[in-house]
Amino acid sequence: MVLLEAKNVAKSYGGLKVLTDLNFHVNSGEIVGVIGPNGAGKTTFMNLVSCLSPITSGTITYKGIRLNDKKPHEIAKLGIARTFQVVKPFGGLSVLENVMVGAFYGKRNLKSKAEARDAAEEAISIVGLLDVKDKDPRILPLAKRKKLEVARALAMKPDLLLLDEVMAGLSMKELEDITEEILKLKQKGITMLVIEHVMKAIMKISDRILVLHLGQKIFEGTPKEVVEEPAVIQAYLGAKFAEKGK
Amino acid sequence: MKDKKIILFFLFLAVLIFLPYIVSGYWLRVLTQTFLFASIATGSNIIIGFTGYPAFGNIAFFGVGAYVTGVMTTTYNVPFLVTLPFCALSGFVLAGILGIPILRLKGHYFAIATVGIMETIKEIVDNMVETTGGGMGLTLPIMVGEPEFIYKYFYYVMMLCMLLSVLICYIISRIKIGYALRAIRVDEDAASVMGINTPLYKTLAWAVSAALVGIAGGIYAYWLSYIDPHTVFGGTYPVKMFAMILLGGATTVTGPLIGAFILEIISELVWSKFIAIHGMVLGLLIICIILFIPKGIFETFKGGFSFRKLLNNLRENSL
Amino acid sequence: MVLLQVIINGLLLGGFYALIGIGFSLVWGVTNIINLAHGAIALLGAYLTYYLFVSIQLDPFLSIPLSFVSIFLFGYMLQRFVMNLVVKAQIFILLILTFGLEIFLVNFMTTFFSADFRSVTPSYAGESLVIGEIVIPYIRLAVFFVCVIFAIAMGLFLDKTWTGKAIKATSLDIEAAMMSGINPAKIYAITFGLGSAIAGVSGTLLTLTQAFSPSIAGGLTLRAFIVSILGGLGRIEGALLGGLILGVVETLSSYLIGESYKNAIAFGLMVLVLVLKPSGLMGRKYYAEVKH
Repeated sequence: MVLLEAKNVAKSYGGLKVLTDLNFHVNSGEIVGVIGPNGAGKTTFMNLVSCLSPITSGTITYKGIRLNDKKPHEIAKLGIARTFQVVKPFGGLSVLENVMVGAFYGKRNLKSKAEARDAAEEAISIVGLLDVKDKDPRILPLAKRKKLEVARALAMKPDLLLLDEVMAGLSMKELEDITEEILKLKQKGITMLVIEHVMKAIMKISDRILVLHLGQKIFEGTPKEVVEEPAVIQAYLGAKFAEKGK
Repeated sequence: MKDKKIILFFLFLAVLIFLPYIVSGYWLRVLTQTFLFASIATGSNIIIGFTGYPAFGNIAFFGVGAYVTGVMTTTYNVPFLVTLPFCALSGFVLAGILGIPILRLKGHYFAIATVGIMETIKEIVDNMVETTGGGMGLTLPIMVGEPEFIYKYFYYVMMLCMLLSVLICYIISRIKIGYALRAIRVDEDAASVMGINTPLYKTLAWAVSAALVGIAGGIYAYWLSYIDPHTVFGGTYPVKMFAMILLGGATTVTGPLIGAFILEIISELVWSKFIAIHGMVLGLLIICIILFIPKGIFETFKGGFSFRKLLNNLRENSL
Repeated sequence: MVLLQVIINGLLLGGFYALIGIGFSLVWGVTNIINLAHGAIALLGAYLTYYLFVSIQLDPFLSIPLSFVSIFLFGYMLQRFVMNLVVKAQIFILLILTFGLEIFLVNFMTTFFSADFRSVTPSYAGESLVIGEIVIPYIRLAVFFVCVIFAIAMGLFLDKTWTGKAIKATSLDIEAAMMSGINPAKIYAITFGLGSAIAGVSGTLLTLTQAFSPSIAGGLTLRAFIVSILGGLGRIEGALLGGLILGVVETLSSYLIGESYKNAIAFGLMVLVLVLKPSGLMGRKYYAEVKH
């Protein structure tokens, strides 16, 4: 079943086209990876899905509902949750309270504080932050703040989770942890759209991969197909691998 | 820790309740004035401190409340206490309507737009000479009774107004909406993708804040029994209110109240010595608060007073 | 014909508003400080001019350089030793600081210069240029041209001199500017000094066209703010346009609706521009991206 579908989606700021004619879909239960060099339009696409910026032309539908004129909070209530590339924890609120915001206002829309606390603790335990739940997130290391973002999104009980570079800047050990967590979430039936630069991880978790370059889709396929596609290697992997000296 | 705070608060309350039987009429007036500022600062803190929108011109609703009571008691002979719900309602509705366009602005722009609203309302009141008396001001009916009784009456009414503001702030900080407001304060984008209807909550916060400030205005009008546009809209109220909020701590429930007590009592002690230059002293006092204790006294002096902390505060925000 | 006269009056007034707005918008654009004491600082220039005129009969136009230099020094010191200490704090902290300064200055002036309305009337005050039915007082015309000259000079200064370029660089990216060896503390102080100096000059010119007292400080600041909003932050051309629009709107509304609602209309205009086009009528990234 198709959960999210983009038809001829384009976005421009003034005269600058950041996305052109994007067509693709995400099926229920899938993990779809989105890759591409900087400036490919990945985060722009995610901002369009969460309605933080308006679509210039084309349509995005979710469960058959047109998202074009929706507000971000309405999207959240429909069951779409996201994280931010630049983490945005609510400083001044503890980790637990941060996640409670998600439980209060996400799709779950809980009313009582006790329920919200239970839901939040569940989400926190999934990402393994129980030991720091009363700390102010501003003092936590980056890896934990990224986990907090995921926990906050999970507390919203999403059907579709948009992960924007949750792995960037993490150590090998932390990478393995978070990869495993993502696969666990998949087993729970959460569909995910994952933007990532860390190739190894994204190849491991994705069912399908969408490759963007300069605002256009240049390829779509399984991880195996992606690594073998010359256009992708040319545009993205080639440069990337050359950098690393592989 | 928490229990200690609550016990302390009720102790403080008990002292306030019995104080009128001990202190002189002069101090009753000073304290009533302090309650007034505590109400304004606490009420305004809902939009300023909790939601993070620096509504510099929030005093506009104080003026509106004052004139609602003024006009209702003079023109329509409505009893004073009956006018207070209307003060709250007019603040609530006005901020609710104005909030829809104005709360789209942020930071400086929002702050000055609220000043614009304040000045505009002031000018409108100034021009409605037939109902408001215009620039000549409006004289309200004076309450009948012994001066002794009247002093105490306003002392308690103003105290209730202050307690109402604190209570509402406390409730807001404890329930679901409090979490939404705090999320909005830190990051509005993140708040909205988590399902928070940010325009609605911001507007609601401003409306509640305006309602509380409106009630304080109504009581003020009847207390002084004379109001004019230049004193109730603006003057030094906005900056005093902000200084109190900062002094006590903007993100807390009782911070503005404590800030109001400290600043009003200091000013009162200073005023009597420097009547001729009191404005200059007030200006300097505010500059010093901003320079040395912008985070509030509690945050700054957590774990004891020291001059080094003051200097650290200074260093933190300097270029 | 009356309408034309009203519009001309508005334009002449607008030149003055533009000048007071330029200083305000420069400071805001570069240092991100909304200087609520701007009007009070302008009045310092006005009082300087007034006392020079009554004591040694110095012509107000000749006191312009004195105003400029002395208020520049005042502003420079203020930024260097007070504002720079809190410039990185949250915006409303800066707002209150400058408001505290405003209260201090206004009360200082009231105490030492009295709350009476003053004005300066040199011997040539009554003469006017008459074209048909249109009457233009020479003084207002001269004030207008001084304002425009200052605006152009300010633009040239920012574009052509090293200091001007350093100011622009600092406003665009303070870290990059520091990397290039610019001392932001000094640049901020120069900027605030310049903004204040221009305010001081507009204060000097104010003495010639209207009566003043410490109580009008707030009104001046708010007009400077409206001009900055209308024109867009930190742009000289923007401030000129904003000033002229505000001048014309004010005089027109006074003529058509009456004097009593002119503040409300000016504010209404500002709020409208803020809500519909927050970057101002000519707003573009220039000195500084609009920082929220």
